[in-house]
Amino acid sequence: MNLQPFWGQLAGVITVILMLGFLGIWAWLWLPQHKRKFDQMARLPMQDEDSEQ
Amino acid sequence: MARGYRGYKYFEAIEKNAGLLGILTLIMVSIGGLAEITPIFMEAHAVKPALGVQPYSPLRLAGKDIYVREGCYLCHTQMIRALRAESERYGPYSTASESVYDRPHQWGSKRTGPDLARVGGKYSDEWQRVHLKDPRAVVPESNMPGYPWLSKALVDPDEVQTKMRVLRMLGDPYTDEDIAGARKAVAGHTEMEAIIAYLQGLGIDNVPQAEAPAGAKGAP
Amino acid sequence: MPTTETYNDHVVRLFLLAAAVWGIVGMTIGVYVAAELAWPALNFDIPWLTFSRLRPNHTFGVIFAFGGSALIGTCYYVVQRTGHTRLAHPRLANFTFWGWQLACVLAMATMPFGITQSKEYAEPEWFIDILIAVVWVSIGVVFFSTLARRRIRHIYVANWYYGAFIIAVGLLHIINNIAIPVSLTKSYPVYSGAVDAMVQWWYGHNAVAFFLTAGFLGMMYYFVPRQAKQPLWSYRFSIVNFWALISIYMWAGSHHLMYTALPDWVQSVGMAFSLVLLMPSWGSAANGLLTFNGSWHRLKSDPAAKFMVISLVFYAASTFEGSLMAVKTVNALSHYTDWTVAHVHSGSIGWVAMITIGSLYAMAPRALGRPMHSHKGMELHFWMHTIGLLLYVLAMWIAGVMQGLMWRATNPDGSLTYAFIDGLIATHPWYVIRLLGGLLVVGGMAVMAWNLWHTAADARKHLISPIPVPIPEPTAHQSPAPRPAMA
Repeated sequence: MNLQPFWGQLAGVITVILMLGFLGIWAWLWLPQHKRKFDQMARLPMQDEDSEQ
Repeated sequence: MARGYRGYKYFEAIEKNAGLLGILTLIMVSIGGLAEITPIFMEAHAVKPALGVQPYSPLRLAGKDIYVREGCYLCHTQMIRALRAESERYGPYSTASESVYDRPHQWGSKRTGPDLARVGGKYSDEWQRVHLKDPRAVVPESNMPGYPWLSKALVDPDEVQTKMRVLRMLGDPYTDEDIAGARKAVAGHTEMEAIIAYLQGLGIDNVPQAEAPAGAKGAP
Repeated sequence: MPTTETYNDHVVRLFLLAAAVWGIVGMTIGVYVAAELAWPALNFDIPWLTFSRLRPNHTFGVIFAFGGSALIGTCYYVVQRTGHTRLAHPRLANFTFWGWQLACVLAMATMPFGITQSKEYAEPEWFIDILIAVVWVSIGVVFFSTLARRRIRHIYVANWYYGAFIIAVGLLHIINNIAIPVSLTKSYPVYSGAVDAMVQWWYGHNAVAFFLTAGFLGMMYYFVPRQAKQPLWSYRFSIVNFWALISIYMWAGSHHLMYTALPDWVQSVGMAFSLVLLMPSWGSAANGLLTFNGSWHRLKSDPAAKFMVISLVFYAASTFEGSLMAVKTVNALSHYTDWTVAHVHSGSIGWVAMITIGSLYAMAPRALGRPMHSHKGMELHFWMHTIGLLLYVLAMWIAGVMQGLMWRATNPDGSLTYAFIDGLIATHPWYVIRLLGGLLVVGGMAVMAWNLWHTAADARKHLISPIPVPIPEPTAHQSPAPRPAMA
């Protein structure tokens, strides 16, 4: 396939944006102030058992 | 809300908003498919006019749909890969132009039996008839099921005609005469005759003569 | 605040029952068609009993009827538990159950009679496809409406995977099945030839990605921590894997068409992304396995946990194998052979079926209101399933590699060493061993059905008391404010 130069460059730009977005997600997730919330979330599956009365 | 870090609240919004999560998921999953399918789609439309191969004749069209109905594609491929051993066994590798009239394509994914892309003319009509009826009568070790019911049913001429109209709507270049003559072309033929006509044209009727690679050969 | 809202487990139970029934039906058909490959006379010259007419019934039966019922059932269970809310639109939820079962019955009843589109894993004809699309959109409405009314602010990660599963499968199903009907029982797709092949394998590959992977990962991310009785090894890592998985998987479909008439660049892109795909795949598998860290002793006493651990091992193994098979030179050998069949089944009997069975054993006591009837029954099922699985995949691996080598073997003069039939003759004993493996797996499923039937005895006699939704006191600044209980 012969990509027109414009499309080739666009593909490159999109790839870089996606890559940065991905790294951003990673950085955001590991911010210390979010840790407590994620720990809380991770306990959700165990609560099904607790709710039994 | 994310305390303090206002710049990061946007990702948090995704986590808390089902609709936004859904839309972003949709976008992410669409990119890959679009990037690969769109150019092929464009290319296919560019290839078609240069082809010079006629669409399926009425009898072969009926035969192809019997091939589809019986599920032959589950054990037989119609796609000779560009590998030396494949060309040695089945003939020159398949090209995209050979299957432009296949709706759907019959490339297949599994070879419990051999590839059929160039099976046309390799065996006589009589051999094909016996083989389809009772494969082990001619190939004792074969594990192919027999399809004896094909000899008993007749091709429905009305249906073939309707099919050709639909195919023309989809872009296959059938003329008015082709469609008008369809009933006569298939009337009185059994399904067995139709599928044999289909098989005997594979690798012959769908390959433009000028394009047919020289030295086409292959062992059974 | 008093709780008067309860979880809707009724529709969940229906889906679980359907999954058990379809599992047995689909796998039994699988065993029968496997026997036909070894002894072809078994079709008795009856059209609808013939291998080529019946194989789609096996694949549709296990993937969509068994897997689909299990996925939708667990999805409804998980979204309620992780959102602390009752399922939205109870009538529509019931419709999704009956609609899905109707679609499955129609598909299974028409395909053996030659009513098929011949698109692999999308064989049912146009009128069934429309029904499937309607039911699928309804499932999406029920799921996302339930998410919208949750009482937990953040959406638990399992729901992300279930959400991606619902969205992507809907998209794939509709685009791949666009066709013009000729009659009630026949249609022609709008795509032809190479375009159709690309669309079909974009669908086929991503049905594996979003039905058999993302969906079941949703199941895994809820039931594995629950059964290990400790939180996910890394909740954050599961989110990283989510975005990586859904954005990479869609690119890899063309690895099903290596060395074919598809443009070369598409094949190369497919291969490259298939290799990258290994990272999120192993990331998810590692996350699940490491969740058991510190509670490995539970494996001794808990068959459900055992099923889950082996399923994760097979998930890791088959995704590695998948990336390997997407390398062009490996694909040249493996494609079209029984190696593909081995790969598919290590993924489906190993990963998909075992995570489903593990989750069923984890969920059934909750949904049915009493512990499983027989602990030994679960142990027996585990061993039958595992041995059956190993027999199956080993036989098909050996057969596949052998076929690949025989097809390409050449004499010193360059001519082919073997006729095609030689490969088939050499495969026969492996087909018999594969059949044995399949029989063991189905036998295990029968043990499970017996066990579930007895566990459900109480449920059949009198109503199970519904499980209440924990509704918290509203805290300051909570947005959205927790919903009051529904009447």
